Amino acid sequence: MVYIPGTEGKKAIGWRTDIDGLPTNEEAGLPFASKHKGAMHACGHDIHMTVALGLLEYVLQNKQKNNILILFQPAEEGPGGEREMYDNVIEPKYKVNEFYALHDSPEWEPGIITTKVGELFAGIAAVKVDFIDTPGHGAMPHMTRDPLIAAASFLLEVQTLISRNLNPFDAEVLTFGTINGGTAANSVAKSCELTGTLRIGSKESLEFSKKRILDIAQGVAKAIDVKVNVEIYDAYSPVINSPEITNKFMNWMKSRTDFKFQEAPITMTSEDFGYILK
Amino acid sequence: MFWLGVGGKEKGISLHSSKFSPDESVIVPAVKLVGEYISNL
Repeated sequence: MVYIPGTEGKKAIGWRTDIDGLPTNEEAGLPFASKHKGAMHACGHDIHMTVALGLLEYVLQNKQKNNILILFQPAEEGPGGEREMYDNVIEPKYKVNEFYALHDSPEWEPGIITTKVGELFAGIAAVKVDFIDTPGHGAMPHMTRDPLIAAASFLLEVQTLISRNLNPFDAEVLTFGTINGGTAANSVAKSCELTGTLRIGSKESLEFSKKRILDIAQGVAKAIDVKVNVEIYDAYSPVINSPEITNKFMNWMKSRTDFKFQEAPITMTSEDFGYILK
Repeated sequence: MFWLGVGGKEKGISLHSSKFSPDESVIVPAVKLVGEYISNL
């Protein structure tokens, strides 16, 4: 983190970049590719860092009237480094009036800047549903309670959250990416766990969805006669751009000739910069 | 927060791909853009 006092210092402007890597081998063949096996600055973090370093050089070479805080933030990809940095360092020590950040995107051609007022990135809740009960021999199902049947039923039933419960004009996604249970083809498993991600915009929809997932899991468990544990926790806040600051930025962008501005759609990816904007 | 278009030397490769390589010529203009915006606040 770098703090540069301004000549007037009436307000402070923050700029944030993420600096963490992902557990991936870089195979782009670039001269500046990661030299560390199994680690690279993917998800655009290399560009984000480079722009932030360039900005630091710029503000050191061009005196600023405002105080400038440039935040090089770890753990964007998890487990939420923004919260740690903001709560423990930035908020107690610095009074930042406006905070900015960019995310690069291959979806947009070079020379295009795009954003919108309001929600730009979705918030995330992580979901874990674990059906558990009585294992046993596959030839004696009457002596068991089968969590795999419950998991299969739940996975289908919970699809109605998006297709039948939520407003189709709201952007929401629920994806279960793992399902694990059982150890042998001829045995009824002791448990079956599903993990998923809920991508959602408004706090109201999030709370509603959490309750529906819990209700559906408990309903299925009752119907199949097994036990269930459900854990849902908020992972990342949505990125919600303030109207005042974003309109100011967009109006300024529209006056530029070196970049072209376009209004952005909401995206279902997430960004823990949402914690600062919250 | 805003998106900075960086295209890609090869189409259809996502940001999380090990093979993603952006058009890095956008970096210097982006720094100038952000620097001038912040100076203007």
